Amino acid sequence: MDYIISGLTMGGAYALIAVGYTMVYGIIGLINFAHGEIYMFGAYFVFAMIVETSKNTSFLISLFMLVIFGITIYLFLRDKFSPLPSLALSLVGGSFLSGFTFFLFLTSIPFYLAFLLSMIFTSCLGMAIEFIAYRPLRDAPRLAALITAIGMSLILQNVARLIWGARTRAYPDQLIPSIIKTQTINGEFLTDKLLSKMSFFELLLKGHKIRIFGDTYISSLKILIILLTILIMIILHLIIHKTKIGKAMRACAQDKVTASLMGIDTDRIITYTFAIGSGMGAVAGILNGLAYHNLSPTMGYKAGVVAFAAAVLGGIGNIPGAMVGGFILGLAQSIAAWIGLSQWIYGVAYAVMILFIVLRPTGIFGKATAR
Amino acid sequence: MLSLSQVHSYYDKMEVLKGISIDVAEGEIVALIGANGAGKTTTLNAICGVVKVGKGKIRFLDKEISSLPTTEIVKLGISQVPEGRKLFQDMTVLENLEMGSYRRRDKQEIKRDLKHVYEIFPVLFERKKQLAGTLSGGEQQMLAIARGLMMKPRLLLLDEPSLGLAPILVNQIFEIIKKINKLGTTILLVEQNAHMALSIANRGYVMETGKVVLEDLAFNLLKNEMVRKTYLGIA
Repeated sequence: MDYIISGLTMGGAYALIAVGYTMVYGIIGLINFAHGEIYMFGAYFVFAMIVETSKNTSFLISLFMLVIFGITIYLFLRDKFSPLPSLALSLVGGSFLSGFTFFLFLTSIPFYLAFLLSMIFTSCLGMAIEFIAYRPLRDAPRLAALITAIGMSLILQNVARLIWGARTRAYPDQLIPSIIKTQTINGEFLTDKLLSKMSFFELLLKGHKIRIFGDTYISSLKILIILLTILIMIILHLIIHKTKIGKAMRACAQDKVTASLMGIDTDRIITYTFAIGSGMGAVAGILNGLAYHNLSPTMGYKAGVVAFAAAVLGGIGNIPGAMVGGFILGLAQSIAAWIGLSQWIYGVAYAVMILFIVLRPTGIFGKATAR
Repeated sequence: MLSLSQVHSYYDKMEVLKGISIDVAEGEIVALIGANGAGKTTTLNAICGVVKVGKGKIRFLDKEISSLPTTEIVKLGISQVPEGRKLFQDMTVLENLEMGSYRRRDKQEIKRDLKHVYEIFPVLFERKKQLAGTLSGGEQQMLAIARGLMMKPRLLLLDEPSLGLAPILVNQIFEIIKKINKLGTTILLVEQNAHMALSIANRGYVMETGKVVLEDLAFNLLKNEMVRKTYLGIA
């Protein structure tokens, strides 16, 4: 039971990342290998904001943010103004915003606020990556774009290493709100008597281990992670099917030329796709940081590759497929750990992917289409 | 309303449009006929900015549009119903129509136009929740035209609306085109079915390998020896 729950937790994170891969692939036919790094930055931004970061490090991050904000603002202004004024405006705006973030990083801010801001920063990061690395290569051969994506991934990994160093970090326990704090196994358990008096929801909010049955306890954090993952996916589904932008995304994914004949600004829609995918990647990164107390510059690479496998498993370009694929791989990994293959969990994930590619090349929900 | 003067277009280095001049006046139906590969579709794509204009000028409503991006051209009121329908297959009929009105902000008007479109094509109302890819060929063509109308265009560019349709449906589609024109939309019609096209058009242009070789009133073109021989199959 414990393994299933941690499988679902892990799977939720994979699913959130996999959706980012699959959305981008669906719309521009490119595997965005830098997406894992986006997830990593999501986790690190929260870290930098909730702890008091040194002046030098804060300055470094803000410098990075200046680039990101500057590009993002320029991206939106260039349609309205001529290049030079929009460049100037984005410099001013970028400096202002990154100056503001300098203080955010320097001091310690509440976790929830950091969570939200990190999503925004990460979305900007995603949009900036698309603009500088992928847009110039829109009509280039796929291989060129793919190599650029890998290059982008390496650059971001090393930026993180430069800023935060290679060693593993963790969110300090005392800075995480008690609601989502994990109790250690040796920590205080509620007695059966107390348990029976409290509602399930109360227990969830108290951040204790919750007894499911017998000797099975689940930390409320894991339940929250699973619930949050599902909630985000429902929201995403609504965005894609009910809003104008979501429908335009689907239209662009199916036929960009015709979409532009409808007056849809395809570049703008691609930008939004990156923003949404990156925001979700950030959520996955933060949740993962909470659950496993483990931030490192290579975390994005590791999770990213598995999530990519999940996206392929579900049929790349297919959003529900990516979600299911993520959960399947998460479960497969934790089952592997359960039967004593904990050293092999990544191998198991790939084995499952390869099995699927051999048996069902289009993925779970993929359609057989001739190209 | 629309005027192309000496427009050249290229795919890579190959010259596809070799200096064509076409005029469309407000309220007209103008037919553009010619064989496969004559450059008819490219002409429409050049107007919409999908294909870049190498040399020459395209003016619409006294505005130079040959260097504008597609989205801007569409905003000015040109809508294209592309060859082979090009529907968003995995979206419903209603969603396809909504994509047509993507650029518009006038919610009330959009609602009215939607009703209006359903009046012209009742079958689309019956199938509004169905995926576009599951419609029959004729229904798909209707949806493509309806989607174009939802853009509330001043000028509607129709590319091969009769392609792959049964003769009875072809008649129906052309009746509808005439009706749309009567309601005030100017139409530039590209067709291989020259007889049908010329029978509803005011004027016509005949294209051959990237050039306009003939232009006249549709009525005269129907009687023209060369047109009759080459495009109508009547000796």
